[in-house]
Amino acid sequence: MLLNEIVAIVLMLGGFFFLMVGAVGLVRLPDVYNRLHALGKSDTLGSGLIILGLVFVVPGMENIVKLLLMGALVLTINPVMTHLITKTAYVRGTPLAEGSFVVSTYYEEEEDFFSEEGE
Amino acid sequence: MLAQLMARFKRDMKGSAFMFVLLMGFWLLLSGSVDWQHLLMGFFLVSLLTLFWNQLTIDEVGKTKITWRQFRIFLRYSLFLAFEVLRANFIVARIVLDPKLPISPGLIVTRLALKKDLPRVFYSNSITLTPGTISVDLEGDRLLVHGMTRHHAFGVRSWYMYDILKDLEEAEESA
Repeated sequence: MLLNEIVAIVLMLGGFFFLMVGAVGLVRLPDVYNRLHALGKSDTLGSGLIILGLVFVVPGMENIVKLLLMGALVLTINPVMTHLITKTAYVRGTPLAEGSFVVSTYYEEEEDFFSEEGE
Repeated sequence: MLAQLMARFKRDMKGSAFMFVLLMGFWLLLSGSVDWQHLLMGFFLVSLLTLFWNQLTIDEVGKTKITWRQFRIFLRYSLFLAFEVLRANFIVARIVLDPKLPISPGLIVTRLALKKDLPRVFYSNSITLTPGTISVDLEGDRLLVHGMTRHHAFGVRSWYMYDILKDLEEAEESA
């Protein structure tokens, strides 16, 4: 087996692992916000790693350029869409999971804030 | 119709030429070959695009200045972001695969002092991509963040990425 194939396999298995984590998180976590944590993050790294792995095995410069463009696209679109879904959920008043806290430190000074963190 | 397009093209010759070179370079990057069929097709399509889209050319008025210093700060920011994305995924993996599911989720409202649009976009997107937090809303200087655990949610207030982006903003102002 060639070295670049080994690198590709390792990277793509990593991507597979993180995409699996995202799927497991989607099932296990309690509410829409928490689920988006799992999906928004692990999808970015998961698809990023799979694209990076493919870079090592596709022939030709132009295919590599296309794959890298796709990677950049995923990296920029993913957080934006995650944010949009979260914001929509928030504006529609989707309830938080049971036991969630809501804190405002907007009117507080920095010092007050840090003393609260230790609780 | 065509006369209108040509008139617009004539008014901003330099901008159109720049657009043409940019699009042609992109075409060559994607086609990956320089035989005459590709070049002819590319020339034709890129000319068409330049002609129809030349109200979108980059003119002198709303131009963003990019200095060397800004570029360096941005490079540093990208490196830290890549590292944080990796860390975020390991944290999420550990939480999700833990049988006890150790989460303490919640919303936190904080103040964000960044003024320029671009650093604000960068900052809220970094919050989404990095450990345990996603940005929910950003209205004026009121930033709403959802955290997966209490610890991570409160960590938003003192985060080193903010200092990097503050640097970037100041570099833009002084440019």
